[in-house]
Amino acid sequence: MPEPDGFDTFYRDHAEPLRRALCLALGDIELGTEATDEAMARACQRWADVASYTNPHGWAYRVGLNWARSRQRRHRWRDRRPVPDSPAPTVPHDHELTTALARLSVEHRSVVVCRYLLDWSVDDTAASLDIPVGTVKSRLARALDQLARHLEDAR
Amino acid sequence: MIDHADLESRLRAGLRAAADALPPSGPDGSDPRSSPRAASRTGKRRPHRRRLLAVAAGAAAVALAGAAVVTLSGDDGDDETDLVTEPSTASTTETTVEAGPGPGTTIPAGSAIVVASGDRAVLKSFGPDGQPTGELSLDPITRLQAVVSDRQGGWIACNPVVVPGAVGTPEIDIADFERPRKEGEPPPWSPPPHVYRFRPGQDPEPLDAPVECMANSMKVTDLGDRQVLVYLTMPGLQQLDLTTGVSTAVPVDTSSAFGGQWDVGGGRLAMHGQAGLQVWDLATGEPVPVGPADLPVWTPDATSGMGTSALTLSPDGTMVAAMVGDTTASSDVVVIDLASGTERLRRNVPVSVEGADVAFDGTSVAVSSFYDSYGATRIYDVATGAERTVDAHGLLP
Repeated sequence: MPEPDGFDTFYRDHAEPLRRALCLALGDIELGTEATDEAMARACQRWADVASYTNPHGWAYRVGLNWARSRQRRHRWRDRRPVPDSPAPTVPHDHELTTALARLSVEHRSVVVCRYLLDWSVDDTAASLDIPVGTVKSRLARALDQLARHLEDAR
Repeated sequence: MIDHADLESRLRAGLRAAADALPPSGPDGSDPRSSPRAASRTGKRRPHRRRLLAVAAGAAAVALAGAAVVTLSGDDGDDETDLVTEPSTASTTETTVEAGPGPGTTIPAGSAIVVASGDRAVLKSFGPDGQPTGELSLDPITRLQAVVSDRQGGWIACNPVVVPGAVGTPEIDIADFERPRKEGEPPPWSPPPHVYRFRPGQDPEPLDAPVECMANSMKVTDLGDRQVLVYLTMPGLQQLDLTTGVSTAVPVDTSSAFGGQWDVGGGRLAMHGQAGLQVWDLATGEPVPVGPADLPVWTPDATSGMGTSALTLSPDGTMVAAMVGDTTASSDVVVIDLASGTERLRRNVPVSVEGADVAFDGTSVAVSSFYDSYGATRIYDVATGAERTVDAHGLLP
């Protein structure tokens, strides 16, 4: 657990991994970077509380994800046109997987990123996203099924 | 079928490759002064610092999208039954509009109002016949996020807070900003006014309220003989007495207002979320008994199914209107009596809850959407269900 006055350390250790995870989960580099800034700013603002959490970087991930989703919805309003979930950033060596990931919803992709990029346990993922463990498992199962189906179709 | 274990291995490798392939930060090749993050790449600043500076200065920098907004009048011109909710006695045909701020700027009740956003925020008024009747500039608001009637004949609107160091703002000496300050020593930067009140005959007046300025972040209600601005801030809702200028916390736990549904009316606060519909007396914080309202709740893990949005209290706080629907292109607008939970109106409307908004004056309810594809705003008489339309659309404050 970070020290109560250790926001700088927390930022140094977690900001960039968080940014990469949010970029992939959201499928939008710019938005993921903005969301990281927002999450870290809020963490700084209430660091005395956040530092006491079991998983501060999980909290930051959820805050960033929720903020970005809210912003996406409002951008849809502003732009006056439906904006589909953006494709994931290009993966240089696995185009099929990139395409399949891009077809997942953000809700499913964010769980996939927690488990397979951040290597969080199901319990940690559930706590971080503030959703039940069963929901994490069902989203993972559905995400894997969809990915497998998309990859099969691409063959 | 691809084996899940193989897929998991492939995901781990693929996601790591994707993460490694991401650029370090900011859009490559962009003008370094075009965004805070891009500017940070000059080496003088790190990306987060601009944001942290704003926080440190007490600012809530939420750069959300601008939005067009529309409110609509009832067709009778009475003060309490106009969806604009201004306590004016002006008739529907007596519209005095001048562009720009300053003396003489009024949009009386009985007009329908559209607020456009962009470089210039404008209230546009429409008569009961749906014809445009004028407009009111909200200068110096330039990136409008929310606007409400102050229920005294004027309007309150907000910009998002400008992050220091962004284009058009003063340069900040980071070292000086982060230096420990002596007691009473002012910070080197404080956020500029971002909430303004526009009153007839007066220049725009900055309000001292740290509003987390975004859509639906401000509401006004009567509290006895006073009007209070209830606004979203960290960590919940605050209420600003528009007469005394004193701001106090709303006397209930409102932390769930972020991302949730809330509104004020008749001196009451309504919130709708995982605990269902809850209503409190704003003056005392005492809960107000509510009947069994049929308003579905999206659970945190829901990606589909029915939910409720655009929660809107009547001006007297006795009824609530809302949109109920899923992600399809149609939904129901419902009006519910709070005390009994009885539905007063339910109409299916060809409008998705996504981008939809509601205005409610107690006798008629208006439904609109920001999307062009859903067409005109629809207004329903609660008693008869009769529909009329106004050829304008947007969000309804």
